[in-house]
Amino acid sequence: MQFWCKAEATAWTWGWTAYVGVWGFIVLLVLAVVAWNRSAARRAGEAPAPLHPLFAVGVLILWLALDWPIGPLGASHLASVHMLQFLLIGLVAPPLLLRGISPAAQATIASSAIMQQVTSPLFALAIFNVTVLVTHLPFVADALMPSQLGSMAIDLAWLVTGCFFWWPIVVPVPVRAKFPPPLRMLYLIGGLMFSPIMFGLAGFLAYSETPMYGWYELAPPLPGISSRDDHQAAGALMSIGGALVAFIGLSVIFFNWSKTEG
Amino acid sequence: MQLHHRLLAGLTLGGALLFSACGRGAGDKAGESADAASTSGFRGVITSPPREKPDFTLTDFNGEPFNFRLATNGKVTLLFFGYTHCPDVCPLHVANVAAVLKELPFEARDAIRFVFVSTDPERDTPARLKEWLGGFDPSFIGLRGSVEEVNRILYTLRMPPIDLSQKPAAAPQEYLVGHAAQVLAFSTDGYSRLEYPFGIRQDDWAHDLPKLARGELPNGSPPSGPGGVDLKPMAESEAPAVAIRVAAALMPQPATTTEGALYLVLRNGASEDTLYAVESPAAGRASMHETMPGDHQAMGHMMPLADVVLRSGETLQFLPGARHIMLHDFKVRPSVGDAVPVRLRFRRAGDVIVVANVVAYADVERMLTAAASSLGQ
Repeated sequence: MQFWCKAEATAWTWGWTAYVGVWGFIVLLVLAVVAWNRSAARRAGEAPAPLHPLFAVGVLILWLALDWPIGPLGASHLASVHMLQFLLIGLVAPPLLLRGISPAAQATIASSAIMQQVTSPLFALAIFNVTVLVTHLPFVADALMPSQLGSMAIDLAWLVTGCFFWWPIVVPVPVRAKFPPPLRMLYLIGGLMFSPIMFGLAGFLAYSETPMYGWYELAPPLPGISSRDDHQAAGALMSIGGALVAFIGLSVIFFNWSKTEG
Repeated sequence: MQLHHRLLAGLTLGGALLFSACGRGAGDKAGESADAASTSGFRGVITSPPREKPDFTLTDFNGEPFNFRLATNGKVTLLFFGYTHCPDVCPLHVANVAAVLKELPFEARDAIRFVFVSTDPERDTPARLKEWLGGFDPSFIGLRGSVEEVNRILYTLRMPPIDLSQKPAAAPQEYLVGHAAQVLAFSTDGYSRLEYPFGIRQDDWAHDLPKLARGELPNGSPPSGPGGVDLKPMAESEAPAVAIRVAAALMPQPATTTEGALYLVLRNGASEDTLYAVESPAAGRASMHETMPGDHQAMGHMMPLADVVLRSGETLQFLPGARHIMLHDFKVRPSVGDAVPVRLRFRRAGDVIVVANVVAYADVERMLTAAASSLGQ
């Protein structure tokens, strides 16, 4: 039993391990959102709205990305699985989780000056990309991944800044008249689909002559998977996965925009 | 990238003297080696004194006899002792060398041989060795011999013997084998001045292998030199060439955290000399003793020795139950696989620095006997 997944120099086995910190975090997250929605509804004199089904999907994806086997495989053995974790935690789960926040709760948080600042498109774009860059630098990842707290910090940084990044797209408050659908689409294209940070990292991972990350290069190997192949797969996942998520986001924005315009 | 390299150096240090049961690592005590590595122009760890390429014959994975020294003559040779069922260190080393060799130009690749000696002959059949190594690089050579044969080679290389203590009787196919975790790099002149412990990365191999293939040597290393342990019988006429020749320096794993015994087999040159002091950076102090036998009235006891005189050409042995060296106040308790540097101070020959291998107590007597017999005793 462990609190959180971390990089460990032990051979991979399919023996299940409990990560109680992950379970606790998932439970706390759900309880916090439910409590926050109820409190906001009470203050607004409304009946509490049921949780959006996409929130449950987001929670499920987050749990899958953090828990066994993806969690320990990504923390200890395969850079490609670590990248899959990044995609799920930082790009896929946040927009779904944000759908779980009721309009009344969104209004309360959006009225905060700090939240208005951190969810403004430029700031959110910057903090998300800086986090992506920093958490993928080899010396940062190699230094943080061997500790449970370090590994948790990386996961939570992706989740929190992912939520900031998606907030201006998914959450309609605060109302931003200067952020119409075409600009949102540009935001996704520049910040995700053709992000120089993501493309740069993906390029380094895929085309570097030697593996970037020491932990994955020196991890006990899995049969048939060389560290170079693993790093190339990680680069491809980052590039293709990021573009795919952006494409889905662009499609949703476009069709919603068409409906309102039509 | 500077910080990245510092982290790498940390990893390298941690593995520098690693004796691995594939997952079991020893401590980090190779500070001097790391300093040397940073100025040597190579990223491998400097071996001091250099190891001479051993002369042995084992059976290769085709069933043919393979004389290591002859078959690799004139080639840069990477020698590694491991086993194919190893879950971590062995496949990593082999995969990393293979990945880097694949990227080198033909001339460099052709100048390098990789030889893998099995430490698990029971499970590493020739077919298994060939298939496993071929999966990384078909040019890699796999050798096998009995555990005793391989231990003898390890001994000549100042490396710890194979540890089969984890081999269970009940499930013989599922066990780890303890073995040295470093790859030795022999230059074309037949000496190994560099070793690559676990923690060395492809980037480091890519930096060092082309230099080794070009025949470059680490900065500051002697062009060649005798190793601290040499099992070849020494002719009388050779004796004066080296004033004090150390055939073995061994420390059984100490039973306590504070002190342990050190045993030596050494041979003096042509002139009488006196060993008057012993020091080790791994211990607070060191002293020489002789165990005096007890009788039916009194137990044996240790008598301190101020110095030990070595007559011309004499072979001197520090053995269990006899004359020995005690190291007191260890900074870190040595464990099997560690290497403890010791400075022997002679009046005439000056200081002789030896690296004592920490071994299991059960192996000490056998290894000391082998060392003594190599000197014709």
